Amino acid sequence: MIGPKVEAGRQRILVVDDHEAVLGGTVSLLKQQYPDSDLLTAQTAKEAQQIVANTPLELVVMDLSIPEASGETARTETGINLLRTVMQKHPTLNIVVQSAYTKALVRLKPAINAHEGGFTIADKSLSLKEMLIRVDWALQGIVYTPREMRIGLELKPEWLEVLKLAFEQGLQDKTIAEKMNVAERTVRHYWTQVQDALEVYPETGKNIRIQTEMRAREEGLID
Amino acid sequence: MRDSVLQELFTLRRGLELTALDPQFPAGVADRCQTWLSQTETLQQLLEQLSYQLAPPYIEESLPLALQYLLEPWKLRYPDLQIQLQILANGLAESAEHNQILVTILDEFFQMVLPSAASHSPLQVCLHPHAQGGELTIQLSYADETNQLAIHQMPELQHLQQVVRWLAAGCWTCEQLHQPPFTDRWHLIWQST
Repeated sequence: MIGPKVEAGRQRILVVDDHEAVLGGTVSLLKQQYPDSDLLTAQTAKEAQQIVANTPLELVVMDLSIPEASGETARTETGINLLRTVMQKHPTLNIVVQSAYTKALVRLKPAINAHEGGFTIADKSLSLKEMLIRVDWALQGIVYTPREMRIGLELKPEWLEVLKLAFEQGLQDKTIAEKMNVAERTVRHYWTQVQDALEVYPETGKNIRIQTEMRAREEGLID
Repeated sequence: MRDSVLQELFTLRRGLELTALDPQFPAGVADRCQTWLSQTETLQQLLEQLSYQLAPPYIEESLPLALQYLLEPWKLRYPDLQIQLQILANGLAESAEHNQILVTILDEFFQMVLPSAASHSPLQVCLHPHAQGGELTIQLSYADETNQLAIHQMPELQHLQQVVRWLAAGCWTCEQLHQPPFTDRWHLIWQST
């Protein structure tokens, strides 16, 4: 485990990858993009769990194919288990999964749907620029999963209810939360999930809520 | 391949990307990096495709997603066919081996029948539960009766039906409509493993 001395009040990002060159490359890239952040690193699931348990973090960027402990073989299953544990214990932590085989994440689909932090998937075939966009989205609390992980339009009833209350009744998040008897944060979580299901993501100069409404109407989800 | 070759290639690619961005190198280096980068990307895509041929995606995780993935290249190859997938058995949990057999059988079947399918007609694939297992229904139409009869006389089709019986513990039957639109409705039924 390596990393700078953690300073109070600064954004902390943990990068998990067993390939030293990838780890170094990702850290140097994130350092350029987020110069005021503290970058921490881990090369095994064990190290990552220790850091996540003991350090308040804003973001984890992790590979799926990692070893459990130093000297062991890297396995996708290990990364999947680490991710499952991290999401259970830290439901609001922002996460980017950077992997050569992101399709395995479909095993965690219910957990991803329930996760209240940002969650984006960056296939390792993405360019640096695209990967940085996924990091930025995760930090904004956005959810991005590839379309091929879904069969058609997969929507939970509560996500649909948010759409109806917002666009058919014109309610704000606070009132929607009261009507649905949930926290306002939960309503924001429903928004990110429904936007991922509708494949609506931030675009410069575009209002994401209006884009969501347009897509929902296209799909016939709201009147 | 996914845990080593593709990872190493990713490392190489990121190294080239970072070098191309590094201002301490002269502009010529960045240009050469861009050339190598595009070659690396091509190699990466080819290796990914090879890995998907060797181990089709979602086989271990989800039969519906594996079927969806299987249909994508067929949609591109036969854009005139309206290929539709309907999933009525989302919770169907089969072993990876069983999913692999089903997906391979279906792929082989498409190779046999799709060249004879009537263009601009629907090809419907439906996955639904059946007794203690599952059922895949495949409905397609042929241009004429000659094409339809030719399919049913293919020895490869009989071999495939035997494969279903032996490897997937299932059966494969067909309802035939011998008048326009010359439709076959295939039922591939299996017991869960």
